[in-house]
Amino acid sequence: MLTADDPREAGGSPQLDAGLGDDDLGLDGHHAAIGRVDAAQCDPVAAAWLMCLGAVLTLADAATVLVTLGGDRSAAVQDVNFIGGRWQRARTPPRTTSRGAGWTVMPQRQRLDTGRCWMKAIMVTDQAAGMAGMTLAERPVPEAAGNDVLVEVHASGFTPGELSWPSNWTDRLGRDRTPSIPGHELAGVVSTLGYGTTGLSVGQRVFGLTDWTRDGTLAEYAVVEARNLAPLPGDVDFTVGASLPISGLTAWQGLFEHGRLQPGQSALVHGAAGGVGSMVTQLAREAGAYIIGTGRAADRQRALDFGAKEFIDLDNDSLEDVGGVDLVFDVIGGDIGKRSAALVRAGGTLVTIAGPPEARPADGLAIDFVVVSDRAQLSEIVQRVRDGRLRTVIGNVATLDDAVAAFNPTERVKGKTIIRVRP
Amino acid sequence: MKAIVVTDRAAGTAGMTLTERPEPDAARLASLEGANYGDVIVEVHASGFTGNELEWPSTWIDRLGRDRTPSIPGHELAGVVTALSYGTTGLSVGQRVFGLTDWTRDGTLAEYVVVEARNLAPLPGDVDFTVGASVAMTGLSAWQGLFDHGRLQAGQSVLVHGAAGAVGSMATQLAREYGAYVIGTGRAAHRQTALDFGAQEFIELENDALEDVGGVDLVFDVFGGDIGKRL
Repeated sequence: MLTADDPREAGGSPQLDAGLGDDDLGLDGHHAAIGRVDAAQCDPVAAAWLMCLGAVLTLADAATVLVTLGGDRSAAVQDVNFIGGRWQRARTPPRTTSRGAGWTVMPQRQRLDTGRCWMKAIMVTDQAAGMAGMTLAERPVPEAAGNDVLVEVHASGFTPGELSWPSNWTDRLGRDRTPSIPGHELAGVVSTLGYGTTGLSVGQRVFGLTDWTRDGTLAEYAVVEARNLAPLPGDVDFTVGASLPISGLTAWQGLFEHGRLQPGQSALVHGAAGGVGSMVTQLAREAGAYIIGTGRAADRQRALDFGAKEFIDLDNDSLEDVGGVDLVFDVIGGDIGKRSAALVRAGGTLVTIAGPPEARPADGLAIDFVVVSDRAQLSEIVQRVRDGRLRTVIGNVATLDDAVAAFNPTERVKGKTIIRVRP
Repeated sequence: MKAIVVTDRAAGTAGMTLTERPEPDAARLASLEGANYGDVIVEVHASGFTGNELEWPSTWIDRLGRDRTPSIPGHELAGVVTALSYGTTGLSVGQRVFGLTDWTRDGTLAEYVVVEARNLAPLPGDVDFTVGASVAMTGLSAWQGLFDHGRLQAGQSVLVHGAAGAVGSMATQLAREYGAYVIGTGRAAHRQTALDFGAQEFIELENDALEDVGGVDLVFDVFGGDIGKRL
């Protein structure tokens, strides 16, 4: 990766081509060297490895490499910025820390402008264009901040409705954050730990739900807070892992956190054959509840296979024939949601992800919630997948190159579309 | 709202000024147009500041590495929830809470702060806001160091540096209560304080030999540098 022979360096350090003079950098002779590198070879994992040797490898778009070497590892990193076409030393020195094992954790440092690898990513820029506005492009590989990890994405899930959510277009301060990378479910491998991040290790297989207000997972790399991820067991494929977070966590939180489902209770599950609904049906059935599923006539058998004891065909049957239930899990909202509220028995709960409910149970709770990532819940969910108590329906699996077409299908696809970013 | 802000990293705490900043927009947070998933607004009653947080990059840049000044420092809080973002559960408006906010976002030396609900815990009615704000970072640091990362077991021995200090006193008390044997360190003047917190022995770093401690099962280090190296 590095080319040879910088005459200024001596004593066994990697030798590099000199690309700029010392004056530009203001570096002393002990710290040296600019080299050239083929950007296609850039590899954040190799960069992290080189840091172990006391060097920092930073890769720029024009394949110019800045490497700073220090004899003393604690002074190995110098903050530099590429400003006005020149590399300049930053004003304040960084802190570095090390783990007991002798590995140098990625130091706190100022962002290096243009000093990064590139990756393929799906991007959206225009809210009005919706899914038709998705393009495949090159973006800089993001950096992990405090408590973040950088994940090498192997498989990615996308929620069709997410392009209509403000979080896709603005950040937590309400600022425009386009062009943005959509998709917020991932399964992959931890590539780098942010400063102070604990609980996960580099190289660990992980899966989870990323922050809706940050760039997402339809990309080769994604940054996410470590606490959003759970270990992905070795016998669970990345494709399966990426299909679990949203539907699994939504079902779990709706049933057990907000719905407080108890064994023996009855639950009306809308869309029982769909992504979230099938997870709700399976989890609730295993928890000892009596499930009445709803959907279209064509969904009947699948809902029953997932564990529903009864099925209401919303086009032909009367919802009110259900009678009273202890829990309604609503993913539809609107008129169906309103009519479902009347079916909740006293003391029961309506949980919904379809927006503020238009009607509330007369003597019960209505809880409208947004799913959050949770490591413990993710682990519970994946354990059930491992031992066969829970299954997802994966429809189309496409590559990142084919993702735009996969999300704009000409015909309706049964099951979830997963993007396999790496084979 | 009133807030302390910093704009100049080189100036340190001397560069803090009290100024007016816009209050967080509760209506936008709660609406379907808001992009604040999981956030709540807290009316800050008491706030904690960590001595060297102005040296950390997180005070000056956001998670994308962009300059985020002027920034509001301080990241421990105790206060009352005044608004929930759309779909946030687990906390109610009017609830007393305390916790540690995101280092890369505006902090708690202000009248209001926006923070993810999952960073907060209920503050019981018989615990004063001032106490609540004082235990968030120190308590979590001690807890995580001892139990999550240190995997402390009852009967083990722990060397706690700075045992009379903010984090060290928490670590000393928690470890002692958990059944560990605690050896504290620090300046001679802090001996009695450390013993009062529960240390069974105390090493005066300027007078005693650290190496006299012998072997311990866990070291809780807040100093680093030479002292940290001699562990």
